[in-house]
Amino acid sequence: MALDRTASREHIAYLRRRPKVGEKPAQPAAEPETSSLSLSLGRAGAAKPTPASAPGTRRVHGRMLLTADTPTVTLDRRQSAIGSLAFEIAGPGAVGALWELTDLTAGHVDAAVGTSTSPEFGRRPIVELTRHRVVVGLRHVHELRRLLILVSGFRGNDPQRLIAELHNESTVESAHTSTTGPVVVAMAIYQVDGELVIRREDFGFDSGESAAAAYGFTISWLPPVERRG
Amino acid sequence: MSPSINLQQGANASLGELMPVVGTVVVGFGWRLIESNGPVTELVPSAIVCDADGKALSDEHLVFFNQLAAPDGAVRFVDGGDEEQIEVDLAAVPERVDKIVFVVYIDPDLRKPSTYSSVRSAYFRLTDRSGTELVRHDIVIASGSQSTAMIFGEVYRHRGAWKVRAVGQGYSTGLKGVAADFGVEI
Repeated sequence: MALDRTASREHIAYLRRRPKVGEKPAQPAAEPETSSLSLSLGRAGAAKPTPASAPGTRRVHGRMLLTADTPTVTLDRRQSAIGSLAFEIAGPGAVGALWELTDLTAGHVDAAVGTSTSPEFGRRPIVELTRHRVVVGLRHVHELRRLLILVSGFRGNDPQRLIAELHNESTVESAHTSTTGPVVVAMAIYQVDGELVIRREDFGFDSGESAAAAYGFTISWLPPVERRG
Repeated sequence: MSPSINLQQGANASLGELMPVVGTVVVGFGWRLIESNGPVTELVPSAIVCDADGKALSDEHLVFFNQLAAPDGAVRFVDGGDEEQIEVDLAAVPERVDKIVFVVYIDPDLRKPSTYSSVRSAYFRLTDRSGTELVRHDIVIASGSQSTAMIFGEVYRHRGAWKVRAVGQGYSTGLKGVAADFGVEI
């Protein structure tokens, strides 16, 4: 069944549209009648929709290291929407990103390809490669669907440490080596109902293009000619 | 109905004298920026629901575009006029709430976030649900202001009744300074 992206998901509190002035707040839908021990789906024949909680720890304090055992963190609603999220490599190496907006427009910021910008909101690219950092503007976080952070430029088997810095100077970090490929997808970031879920990935590819293909990104946006590179 | 009151900075007014029944008020925010070709100064209206000690009841009582309503639902963003609007159902505000502070901060983006020096004018006003203006405060912005957040006004309890005050207090420390003052973890 095709995913209906236009359907309203009123059962998710933060996806409810803003009410008009004077409009009463939406009331939760009545639950189907079931006995306390019943496993049936109730009269309507459908279970009550249960919004899935975003996985992982909530809110980052200080320095948080993502590992294979604890690969995920969810930023709370304030950390997800205030200021910027900046990704950089500690030491030599390069960082880039594949981004996708909620309208499914997708592109990349990558010094190797010569693109450093993305569509603008408030005349700032929502994702930008600047001074060896990938910066994400969180004022318009609702426009962002997902983001992959790519690490390259490994020296031998030396590990690279990717650091994501939040507006309050807390960091989310992960370590990677080139053993799986010269370009490593280090982190995946998903915007889930206004909260950013950050997941350590650590999958290697021959190039950014092959990473894009593997994750289902269809690159559809390039910066205007005068601003490329 | 009384005509709208134009409050000066620091002045207050009793809502009981402006509305026949003190129920729901709509707080409207508006501004004009100085024209520029550079990145936009991103003004973000918010409300902080505070107790008698002047502290936020919880981190979730900072109401802004990514946290659209306070947990009790009495303070919430609505779609209407102005640049942004926050509706306050005063009758539904929990007893332990002493005041609701309205702050407009400049988003602290790493890339040229700017200051209030790039804001030509701004206002804060209260209307009733029908849109009738009750109170208005035109914000005083100093030339070359280095403020990156500002308390526009507050609605507060006084001897069992609700009043509104025009504040106009700037913060050069931005949202971070505001959050520290009101005990919100951002």
